[in-house]
Amino acid sequence: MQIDLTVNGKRASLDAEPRLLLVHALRDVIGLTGTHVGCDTSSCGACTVLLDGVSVKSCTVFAVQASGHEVTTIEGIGTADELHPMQEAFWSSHGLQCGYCTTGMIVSAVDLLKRNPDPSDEQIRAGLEGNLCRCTGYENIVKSVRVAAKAMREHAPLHSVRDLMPIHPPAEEPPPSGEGIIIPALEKALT
Amino acid sequence: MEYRNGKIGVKGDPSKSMTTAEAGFMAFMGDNLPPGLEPGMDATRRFEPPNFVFPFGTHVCVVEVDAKTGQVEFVKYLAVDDCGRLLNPMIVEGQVHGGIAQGLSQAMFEEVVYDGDGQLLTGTLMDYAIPHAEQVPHYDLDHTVTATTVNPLGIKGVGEAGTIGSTPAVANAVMDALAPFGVVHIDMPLKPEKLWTAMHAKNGRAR
Amino acid sequence: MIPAAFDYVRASSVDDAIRLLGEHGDDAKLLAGGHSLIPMMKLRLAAPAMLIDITGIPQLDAIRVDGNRVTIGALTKHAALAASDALKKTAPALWDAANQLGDPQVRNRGTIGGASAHGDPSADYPAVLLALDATFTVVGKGGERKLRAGDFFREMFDTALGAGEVLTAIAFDAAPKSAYVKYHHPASHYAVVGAAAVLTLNGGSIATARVAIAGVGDSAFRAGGVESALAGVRGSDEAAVAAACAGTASGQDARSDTFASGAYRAAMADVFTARAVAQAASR
Repeated sequence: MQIDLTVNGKRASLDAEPRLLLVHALRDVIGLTGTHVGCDTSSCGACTVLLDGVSVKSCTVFAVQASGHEVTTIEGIGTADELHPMQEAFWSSHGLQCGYCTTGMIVSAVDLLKRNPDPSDEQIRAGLEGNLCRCTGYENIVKSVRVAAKAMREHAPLHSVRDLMPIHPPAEEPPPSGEGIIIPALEKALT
Repeated sequence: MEYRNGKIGVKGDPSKSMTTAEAGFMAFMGDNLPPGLEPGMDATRRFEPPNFVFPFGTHVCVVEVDAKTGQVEFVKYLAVDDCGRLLNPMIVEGQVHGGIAQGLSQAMFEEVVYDGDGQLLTGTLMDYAIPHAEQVPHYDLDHTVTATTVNPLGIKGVGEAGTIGSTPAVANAVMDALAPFGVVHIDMPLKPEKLWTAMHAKNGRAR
Repeated sequence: MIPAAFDYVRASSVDDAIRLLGEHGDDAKLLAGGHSLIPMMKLRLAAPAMLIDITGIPQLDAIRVDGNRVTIGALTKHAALAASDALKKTAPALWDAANQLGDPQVRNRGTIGGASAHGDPSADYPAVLLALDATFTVVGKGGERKLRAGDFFREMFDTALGAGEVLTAIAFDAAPKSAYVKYHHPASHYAVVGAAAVLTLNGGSIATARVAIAGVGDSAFRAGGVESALAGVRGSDEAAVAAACAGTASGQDARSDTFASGAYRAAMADVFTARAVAQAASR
């Protein structure tokens, strides 16, 4: 069956069985693996994406249902060069440990702030009711959302991954930006 | 060979050098190694401390139990842990937060239930409860720093501090709340029905 | 988890949906938000050969207040109900239920019609809609039928919605003195017990009461004995309300699961009913 989606602003067309779940379309067909499969019973929220701008659990939506609609995954929330304030806040406030729930948590939190730009801690906790985390005890997740909300209200400047992670120790010739340090050697070895 | 400016180089020849990553990659790929030299670049050292380290701490939990339902609400949670010198206080706190949640979850929620035929009844997160953000309290943390002498950094472990402290702190808080009903012990997890039944069994009717 | 294979088609109108249901017979299922159906399909507890997606049908997702009458389109999402000030004023019990149902992502996707037609005994809406004495509009080949909530909800996962019919709207009289109080299952977020109360007051005293319970029986049910016992009781008299709410689940074979026994559920039905009544009276 022909399925036409807009994913992170780009058209994506696929021919798939109607039973293909949106999360599998995103991960296995389109190749966006930032959206995770956690519980597969619509409990944990690891698979959360925005569908027409609102958070949904993509393990409980068939891709065909999203045909003609807009999907935003974690890859569309921000980029390494311009992190979304929520991504930066999860980084700076240590809002994650293993990282498995993080992408869904960030997408849910982005939706939460759209509805309520200045939530109390109680409202943050209630807004993240659909996302489970096993590592953090939620304390720093709540803090991250609070920090991001403040940054967004104050229109704080966006940062890149490199701003946040200085190369250590500083090399005389830093590797080319945006590429892994192993790439030049790999290219040499493969040619 | 010598290590200069973040690179491995040939002694006395400034023109010949490569980054550690490049050297590591060549060693790993193993294409241009001299005959008889196996690929890979690793080194192993062992440090044997003269004794164990003993991190310690105290966890305090305040709960309210609804006598009509047995439902438990967290009022306050305070943990003071000592893991010696804190190399990264943010990570240390994160470890304690997560540990508290896991421990209180064991005390309150988590239970593997089988039926009489050995069929698992709590096989998905629809039945097996782990807490979401609204079901855990805010944790107040503090620490003392008693550096250990058995390693040069003065560090002690912290990964399990939260789980060790929180389970008994939560369970004891609930038992303390039930003390007026003459209840002294209930097996974990402290599900509301067990608390309700215990309160009613002792008094006939909860106040 | 991958469901069994099926075909998928989108209905453009209610008539189109009825035609498609007629063509595909018992093998077809209507798909709205899918948050009851898709989990069952993934567990292969349901395996429809054809899904008819009705979410694109226009004008079925409105909340309309017409004088004293509130009408809700079957495709109205939980999130829209939860955010509706008009609903909060006219039927706070339903607003309570929408706000406590599932979690934000589920509320963004699921619909009141889908959740009602599913007939889950642990779902929140059936109890509220019973207490509101709501009228269900269902449309089939033979035209339109109006069913009262008491006739619509039958047994576990069974409603009076015919195989070829589409639920289009749910309507009820405004009930500003109403509340729904829920005992959340810690894992599933479904109701261990949910109590809905719809009152009319005379001064501070309860003139009439309709009370319905979710989570306890094989289907949501009205607690008739409690309703009569509440008449004349002052809503602020905690002891009198609690006494009137004793035996809410009498006559029901209360369900047990890994979280709560039937006896505990029945006892909690009394407690939560009293709380719902007190809250409704104070509104």
